[in-house]
Amino acid sequence: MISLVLLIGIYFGIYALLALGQNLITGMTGLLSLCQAAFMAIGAYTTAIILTSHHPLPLAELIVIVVFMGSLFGAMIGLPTLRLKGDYLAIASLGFGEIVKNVLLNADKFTGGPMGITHIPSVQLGRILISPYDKSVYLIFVWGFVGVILWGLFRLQRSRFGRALEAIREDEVAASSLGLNTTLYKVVAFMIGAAISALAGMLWAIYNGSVIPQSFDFMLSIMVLCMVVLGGLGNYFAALVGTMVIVIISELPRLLGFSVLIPAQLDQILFGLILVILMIYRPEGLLGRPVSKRNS
Amino acid sequence: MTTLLSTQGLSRSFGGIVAVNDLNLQINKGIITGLIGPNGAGKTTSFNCITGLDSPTGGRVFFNDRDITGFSPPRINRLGIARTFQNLRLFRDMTVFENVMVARHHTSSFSTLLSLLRINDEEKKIQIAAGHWLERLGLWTHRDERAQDLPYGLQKRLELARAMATEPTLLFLDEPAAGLNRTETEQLMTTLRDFRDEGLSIVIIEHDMHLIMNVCEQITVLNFGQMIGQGTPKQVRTNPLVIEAYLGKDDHATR
Ligand SMILES: Nc1ncnc2c1ncn2[C@@H]1O[C@H](COP(=O)(O)OP(=O)(O)OP(=O)(O)O)[C@@H](O)[C@H]1O
Ligand SMILES: [Mg+2]
Repeated sequence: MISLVLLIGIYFGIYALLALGQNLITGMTGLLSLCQAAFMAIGAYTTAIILTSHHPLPLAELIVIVVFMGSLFGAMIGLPTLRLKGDYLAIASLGFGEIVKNVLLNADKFTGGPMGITHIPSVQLGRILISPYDKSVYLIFVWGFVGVILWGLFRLQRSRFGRALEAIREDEVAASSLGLNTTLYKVVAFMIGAAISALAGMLWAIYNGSVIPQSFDFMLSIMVLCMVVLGGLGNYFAALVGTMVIVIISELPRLLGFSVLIPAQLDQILFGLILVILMIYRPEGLLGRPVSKRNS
Repeated sequence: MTTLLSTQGLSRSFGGIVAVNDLNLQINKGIITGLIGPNGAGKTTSFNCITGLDSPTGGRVFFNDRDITGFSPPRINRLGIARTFQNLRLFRDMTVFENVMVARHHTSSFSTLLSLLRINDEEKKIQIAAGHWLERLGLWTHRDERAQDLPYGLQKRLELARAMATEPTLLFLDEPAAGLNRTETEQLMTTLRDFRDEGLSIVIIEHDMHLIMNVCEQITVLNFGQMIGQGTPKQVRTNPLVIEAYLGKDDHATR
């Protein structure tokens, strides 16, 4: 039982990172992006490829590489689409998600194709072995990331950069005619969100010891969007609450072992239903936007 | 008098509609210019083409003798051109203070990104400058209110404060008096004259003829995207073409 709680705690932390990244992109900056799963895949496969070939690697170096890869791919989709007016990002990110999955499936040489990459070794943090076999250590490890990133995001929100993102979300035309280089800000926000998701992928890969393309399906991106919308767009704390609700709803049956009784498509129906019901009855989400704002 | 901004053959069509047609505008330095014309004459579209929000389908825009056609809105703003909008475009969910502070971000986007690391103290300067404009326009006591909670007249004033906070040399105002009552309009007129006396050049689109005739030194009249008259208020008032455009000839009196 305690092991189950730890397991849920670990999954909760990893999904929380995805939701925090999505909230920065969609909640704070107002960009509709649907490819958190793809960025997570990039982080996970980067980790898998590096750790299986360059073991042992100091954790700090791994983190730098994963963050770099996440933001690089973020810039690759962000730069061409965010310069245009309109929701090109939504479409491009959908396509990107599919491309990533197909590349992972077909570039067997690097990714192991449909079978993925297995036997990913654990990492060493100083003298502590971060091993998935010790769930309590791994839980602390994951939530350490959540804590640091949450702290960084709160700081970002209170900074001038955060204020610029908020202005862009509120009225991009006005922001640009006041001299703000809106494209630059949007791309940077998008890259940060992508890098956070890549870190989630890293944690996922180390925890599972293996990666397969199917884990990073489009449905995962929708689930993450659902978490953020459910909690309340633009509110990091709400993103965590939304994540918790969705993780419990969707992971519990599987973790408890009676997922065979529930058809796999139920999740998809459920997420669609949650999104529609929220749009109608509570578009601001369970918690809504924070009322108290930066006062510096 | 020196020309600050001019357009040469500026045109913008939307499919079959020619909103702006071969327009040669001339905006002089240090005065208030009025841009008037019936609804749909192409006034807002001209503003948009000049400030980079819209791309002209033909013609060029010159600012201080420099060709600025096709420049992005932030770039044009940084050259010293600011504007307000016909339909308010405030950051509705942000406070009054924040609305104006955003207008000071342009000082450096790089330093704004660095603000993440808190290694510069630009913020203080931004607050002081924003505070200055809020005080100047009588909004200081409202600084912590959300923009959307302000009464309409103050929202309009906030938009003006925000544009001024970018420290422009040329200010475009799209119907600044629309929705204001008599007193508020008089206040606005005083403010605009003060700005002009301090050296700001202003272009105003407005349907309020009382305001136009009383604050503008120069007036340009548009109809169907073309300039149909230009001159001092007195000249324009007596121009038969202008009178016809406003009152209508018998055969298209009810367009
Ligand atoms: N984005 C657009 N797409 C199609 N037509 C447009 C667009 N913007 C403006 N127009 C058309 O261009 C013409 C000029 O519009 P514009 O808004 O410039 O007029 P205006 O002089 O500002 O009028 P008003 O006094 O009512 O604000 C109108 O016929 C309008 O319908
Ligand atoms: Mg107009």
